[in-house]
Amino acid sequence: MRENAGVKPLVRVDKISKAFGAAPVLDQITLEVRPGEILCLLGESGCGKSTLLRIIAGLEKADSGLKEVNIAEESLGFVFQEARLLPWLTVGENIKLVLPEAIAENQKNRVVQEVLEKVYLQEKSGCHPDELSGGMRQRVAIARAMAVDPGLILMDEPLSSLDFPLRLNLIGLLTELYEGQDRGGIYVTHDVREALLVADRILILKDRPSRIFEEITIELPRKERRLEMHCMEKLYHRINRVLMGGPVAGLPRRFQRMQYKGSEKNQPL
Amino acid sequence: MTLKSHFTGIIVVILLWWVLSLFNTGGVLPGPLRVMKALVVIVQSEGFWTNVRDSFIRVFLGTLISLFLGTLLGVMGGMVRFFREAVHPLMVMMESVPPMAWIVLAILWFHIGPVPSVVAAVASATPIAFFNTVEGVKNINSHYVELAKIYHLSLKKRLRAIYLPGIIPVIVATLSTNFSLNWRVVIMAEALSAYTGLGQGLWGTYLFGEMETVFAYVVVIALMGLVVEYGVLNRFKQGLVKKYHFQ
Repeated sequence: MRENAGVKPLVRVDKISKAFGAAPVLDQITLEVRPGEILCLLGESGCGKSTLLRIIAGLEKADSGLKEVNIAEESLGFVFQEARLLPWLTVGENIKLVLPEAIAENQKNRVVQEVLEKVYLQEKSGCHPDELSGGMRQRVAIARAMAVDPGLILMDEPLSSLDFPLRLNLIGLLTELYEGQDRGGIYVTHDVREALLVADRILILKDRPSRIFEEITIELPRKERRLEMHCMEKLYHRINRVLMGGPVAGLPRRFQRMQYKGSEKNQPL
Repeated sequence: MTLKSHFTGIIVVILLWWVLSLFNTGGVLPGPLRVMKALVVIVQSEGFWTNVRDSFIRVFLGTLISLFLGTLLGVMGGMVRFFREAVHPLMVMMESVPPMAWIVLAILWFHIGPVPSVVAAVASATPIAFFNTVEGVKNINSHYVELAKIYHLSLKKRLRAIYLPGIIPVIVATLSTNFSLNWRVVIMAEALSAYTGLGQGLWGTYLFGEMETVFAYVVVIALMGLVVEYGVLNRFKQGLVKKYHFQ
């Protein structure tokens, strides 16, 4: 958040560049995430935003540039595009897997219950992933990321495989987990609406190799955004113009309807 | 129905066999009925069930030991590149040696008895388990490997929660391949290196018996292989697939 501008960032990358073979993907990207802030990396598919996230997570190496991570290694959560639950473990076991071995068994069980309650799946601890719907599996993945009490959660298009109403609900859930917390997040998406609902700041990545094209700060508190989504239409247009390089149609009607419906029935599916 | 289609092939072969045996004048192809009669005689003969028991014990021992060794080396090879590259040529060499050569070596080392057939089985089947497991570990969903990296899972956790369950399908497939390979290797080895076993029985009837008794032994060996594959291994596979929630 902006009032945190002077605080030491949770993660900072400085002039990161990356190429795959002869194809440059990222060009001199600089960004930082401050405590309590969700930074959204927005760009079209294939623009390198996931690569940037993977570099921050340590899954890829940058060709040049600096990375500074100011949280403990174990305090990093990652929600992938797919739930990535091990099919042979139950929901509870999948979550326990990421907890440190030193923790006592009953403490682990307590953590599992707590995080499952946060995603409204406390009944499903003993189920196997193949007994859950796609949305439920992704909720378990979010719960797993929460289990390590992360200082920073990296999210790589975590909702892109789900349909829109479910996405709206999960966005509500995800952002709830940030309220009043000091943890930060990086949220990668190609969906402008998702970015508008989730982010404190949006970085628009564009071109090949990708560079940061524009930075947008959203002042409106997240809780009010669903109701005020129609007010954000201007912003939606602007971002789309940046992304597409020209004027586009207004906020889809479906979306306008959805968010009113969503505000009346503000519970996850 | 599956069972019906499975039986169709067998029945067609028996019919063909019967027709061919009608044209047989030299006595080299006894008809199915004569073979069945000989089969009843061997099944009732003294020592037959001891032979069956001994062969099964050797095949199962050979299969289990080769599976254990091959899987262990394969998991290590799949995870550590240096180890894989060091062991791979050894396994290729082992695989290139024909079972017959292992049998001869094993007789020299352990003398005639139950051991050489098991040694030949282990030596022939271990490389297969190794190659399959290395591939299995390499193919374990890279998604899970990344997950392990992100959450800093210990080696113990990675082995127990990701690698071992992840290669269950490979182990199951290898179990089948190794069993059928060892069934052949052990019976061949027994003919030369053991005092008991179905291979020894077959060899004995070849030396001293009738043509239809030799055929009857071949039929017994083939039928037992079939029963184990369909009756035991298939059920075991289905059980594992269900237990580990593979799609």
